[in-house]
Amino acid sequence: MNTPAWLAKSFSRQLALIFISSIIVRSAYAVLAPLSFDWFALYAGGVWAFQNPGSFFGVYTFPAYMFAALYVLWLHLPIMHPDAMSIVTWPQIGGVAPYFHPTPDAIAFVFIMKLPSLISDTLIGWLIYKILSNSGAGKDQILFAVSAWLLNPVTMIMSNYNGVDSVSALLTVFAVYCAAKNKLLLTSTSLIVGGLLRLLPLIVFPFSFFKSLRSRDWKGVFFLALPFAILFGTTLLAISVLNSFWLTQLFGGRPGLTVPEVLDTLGANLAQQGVEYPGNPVALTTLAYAILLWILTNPSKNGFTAESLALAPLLAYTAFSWSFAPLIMYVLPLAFIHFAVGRGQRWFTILLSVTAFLWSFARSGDYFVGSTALFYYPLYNPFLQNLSIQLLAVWNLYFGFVQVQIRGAFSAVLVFLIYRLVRRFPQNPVTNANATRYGLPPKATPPILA
Amino acid sequence: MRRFLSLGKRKLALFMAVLILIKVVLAAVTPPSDAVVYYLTLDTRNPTPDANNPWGLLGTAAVSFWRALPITHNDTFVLINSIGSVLPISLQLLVLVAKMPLVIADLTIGYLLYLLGKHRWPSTNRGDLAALLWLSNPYATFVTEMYGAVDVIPLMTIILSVYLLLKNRYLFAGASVACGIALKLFPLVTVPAILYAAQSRSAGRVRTLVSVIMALLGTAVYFLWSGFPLSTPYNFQDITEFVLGVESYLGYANIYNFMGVATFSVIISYLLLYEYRNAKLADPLASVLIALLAYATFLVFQIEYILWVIPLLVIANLTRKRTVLPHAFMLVAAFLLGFLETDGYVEQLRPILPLMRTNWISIVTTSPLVDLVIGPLLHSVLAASMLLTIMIIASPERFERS
Repeated sequence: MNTPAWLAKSFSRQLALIFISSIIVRSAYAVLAPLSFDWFALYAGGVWAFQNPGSFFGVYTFPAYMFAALYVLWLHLPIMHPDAMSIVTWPQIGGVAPYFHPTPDAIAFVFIMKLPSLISDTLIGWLIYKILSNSGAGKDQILFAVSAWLLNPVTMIMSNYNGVDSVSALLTVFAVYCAAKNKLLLTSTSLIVGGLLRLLPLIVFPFSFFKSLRSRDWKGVFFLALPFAILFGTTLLAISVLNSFWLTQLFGGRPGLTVPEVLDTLGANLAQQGVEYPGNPVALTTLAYAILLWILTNPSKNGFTAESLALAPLLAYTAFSWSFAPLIMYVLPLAFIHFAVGRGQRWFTILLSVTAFLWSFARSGDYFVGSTALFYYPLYNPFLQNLSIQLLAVWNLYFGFVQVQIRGAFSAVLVFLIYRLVRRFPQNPVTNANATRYGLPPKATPPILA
Repeated sequence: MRRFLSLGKRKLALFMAVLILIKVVLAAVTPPSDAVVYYLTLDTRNPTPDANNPWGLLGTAAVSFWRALPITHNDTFVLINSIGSVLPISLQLLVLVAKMPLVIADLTIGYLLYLLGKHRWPSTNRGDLAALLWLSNPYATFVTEMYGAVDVIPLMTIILSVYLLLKNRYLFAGASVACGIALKLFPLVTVPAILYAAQSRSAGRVRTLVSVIMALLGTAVYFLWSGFPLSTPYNFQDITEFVLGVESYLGYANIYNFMGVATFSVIISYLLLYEYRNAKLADPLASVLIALLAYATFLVFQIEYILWVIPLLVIANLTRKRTVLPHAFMLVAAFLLGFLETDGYVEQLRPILPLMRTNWISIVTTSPLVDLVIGPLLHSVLAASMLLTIMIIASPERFERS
């Protein structure tokens, strides 16, 4: 189908169309999407946090206050306000997922509770556009990358899974954007705030920090370290003095960087299976992280991209660790940016999206499968109900086998991306007068794309 | 080999006839493996979905054909109770009948390699050499005619697909590999190579799409026939049915956090070829071989898996001499591994090989030394050989044999 002339001539129009379409589709899906237990727990935590302020402390539970604020917003709307804890319920028969009766009040409630992910995803799309514009990417590449994020079923589904990782991912991408503009204070602050919601953004920090350090960019080191020093230095000191128990509470959250996940993957799971666990496992995640940290922060390797420094640790973590499905939200936007400045953008984008979707499906199968019939609860049908239960049984029985294959495929794509990133980034400097390298003044270099 | 080729076509044909005769005789006189016995005796077991998959149907057809012959028909149940023993002639004939499709597929691969050699090196005798190297390969004979592994049939569809691709018959190539997938899943890993090669030869999007659909249909047919995953014979099907294999050293893979290393290896091979060796990816002889090598390297070892790579390695060996040595290491390591670990087949060979009756063989093959030291060592040598072969094949053309 040929693009209409009025549309084809205007890059801005096409971009606007993508954003508008995304907002409409995502808003509709936010209300129609099956609900997950994680989201249920988070919004319930938000209601509780509103009623009992100060009851949550830790990276796993800080998001509850975000939901508490949304709950307050909902309370101020000129609609009926039934008991929030009764809006979303568990069905009486074969309950495997939460559900809500689609009354206007409930729809408004669910929509508002999903606003953070809706807004975050849209802003990530905007940041992808801005970062690629500053890197000199072509218009086609920009449009494809933005639409690959905003109109991607994978991101829509995972965004609605718990509503928190989108926000944290936004802050990570924002940190990349700020880093590309040499606004390192904002970079660091953004990573900290994102890290307090989900620990994962914090693993990006050492790459930025050590790059500045090894390049002897003391100004960069100072601005990157300052927010960490202020927040963690003083806060941790105060906590340690006042109540050391709070220290463990602060970082006791999951998913993310709990000890088994950072230090080891295979062994922990072997132990869970009752298998004798080797005493000195090789921690693939940490090994990959350390190697990439050494390579990418090499001061002689100039011409890197800010998104490469952020993408590398996220890839190392996602490729080799116990990978909670929504964590792909951190990798995808940066990967789409990376693909846009090289060959094979479309194929790699599609391949990564497909494998990411399959992996999400494999990891969160009960969310997809168990919600099949319940999604159509208003049209309650015993056949659908039984089908859902049977599918869940089949899933539990057989798909461990298939999950292994999917895991291999997904990890292969991520490892390839790591290799491509490491091999390519010294050769493809970010260009544009506005973009700068860490700690170094802008330097005119030829554009990546003609 | 070159000496034989210089003897003239007639003597060459005679030599090949002798090789074929040897294969047929070995197929007839060697004891059947457990897998062959299983599919020949389906009617004596409780009904299983295996009766309706291609191998079950083939076994049933073999038995029916055998019963139609004007000979004495011993009870097939004897097969189960006589593993390791010399069978009555009637039952040995049944075994031969069951193995004949495998022999035919084996010979077809030889012919296809001849055609591939003629296509690639038109004015030389490398086509004859390729066929000869395949037919005289002792490992292929051991796995196919003696052990009775059925992989040779889907392997034939892969080689046929490659040949048809080089002849620009894209739809037929797609159909061929789809048939292979319907029989066993492992040809699935060659699909991206075949599709990409077709695209680079201007096959057109429609043909490519049709080929993709055929591959998906083949996959669906496989799952329908094998009764996976909606039936319970997961634990009863012969290991050759689960071609995707299990990548964990625990021997099963129902833990989602285990990474499918074989799948990982195949996909990353494709991606690296696409990125850095695009010309290789467009050459189906190289890309299909690399995909099969990458996949087979990391599977829990079964002797038939090595068979997948031998035909195209024959072509590779004729192209560049550096693959010959790792190929030799591969076959030796695989043979020794198979000899030591193959489903008790070593025990079954005892009656026909006097050497097998000695005590020291029994002591070695049953000792923990095999499981703890020799097996892993051989498997490492095998994996290293296969990875080295991949690197050689993927390397630039300057290593090509003149």
